[in-house]
Amino acid sequence: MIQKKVKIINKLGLHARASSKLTQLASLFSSEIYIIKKNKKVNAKNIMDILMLAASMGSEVEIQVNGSDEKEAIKQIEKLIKNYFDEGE
Amino acid sequence: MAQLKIIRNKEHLKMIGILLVTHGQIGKSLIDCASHILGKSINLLECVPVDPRSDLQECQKFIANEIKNLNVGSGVLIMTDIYGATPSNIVKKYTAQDNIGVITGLNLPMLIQAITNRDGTLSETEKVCMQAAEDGIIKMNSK
Repeated sequence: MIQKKVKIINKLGLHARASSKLTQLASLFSSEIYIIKKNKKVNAKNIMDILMLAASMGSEVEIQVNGSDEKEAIKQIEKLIKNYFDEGE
Repeated sequence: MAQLKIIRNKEHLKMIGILLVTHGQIGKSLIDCASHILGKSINLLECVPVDPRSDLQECQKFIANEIKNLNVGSGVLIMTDIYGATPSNIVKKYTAQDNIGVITGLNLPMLIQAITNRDGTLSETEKVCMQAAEDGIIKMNSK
């Protein structure tokens, strides 16, 4: 299992469309993927679970991945978050 | 391209169809919102609006036709807005059918969960939807 802390930097935070992009990306991997904010741990492959984190800009979340493709999964998810979910700001 | 089409068609074979039967344009608006959030047009999802001027027999025909089109083998989940109101009353007759689920209290979290969790059984999708509807209601202020 690998894990990494990442800051949400896009203006709208983990809003509905960003959560959808994260879910769709996470679903491409066979590994179990979780996003943790404070003490709340949710399945990264379920959009409503991600939305329940209500993670706004500046929030710190932890990505936790467990499985055969964990390295690539965490790399891609970190890239999406650091790339502002392709929203430009 | 042709190959992609074949794959998509195969995906449809195990997908539960979704039909929204609602007051006015609520169903259409929810579909528009869900498509925006999920970033794509959504297959096997339709709506039938019911308003005071609607001919209920015509509505019944539309509904029957949509159910037929949406059922590709895994059943159809019908979602309506208010229990006891006309949209839910006119789909009541389908509750006796094994391959059709009927849920009221439609909201956006419920619809999004239905769209993204419909590759299993009808009862699994129903369960996930009802949980999402409940979880989506949160009093945000602390007082």
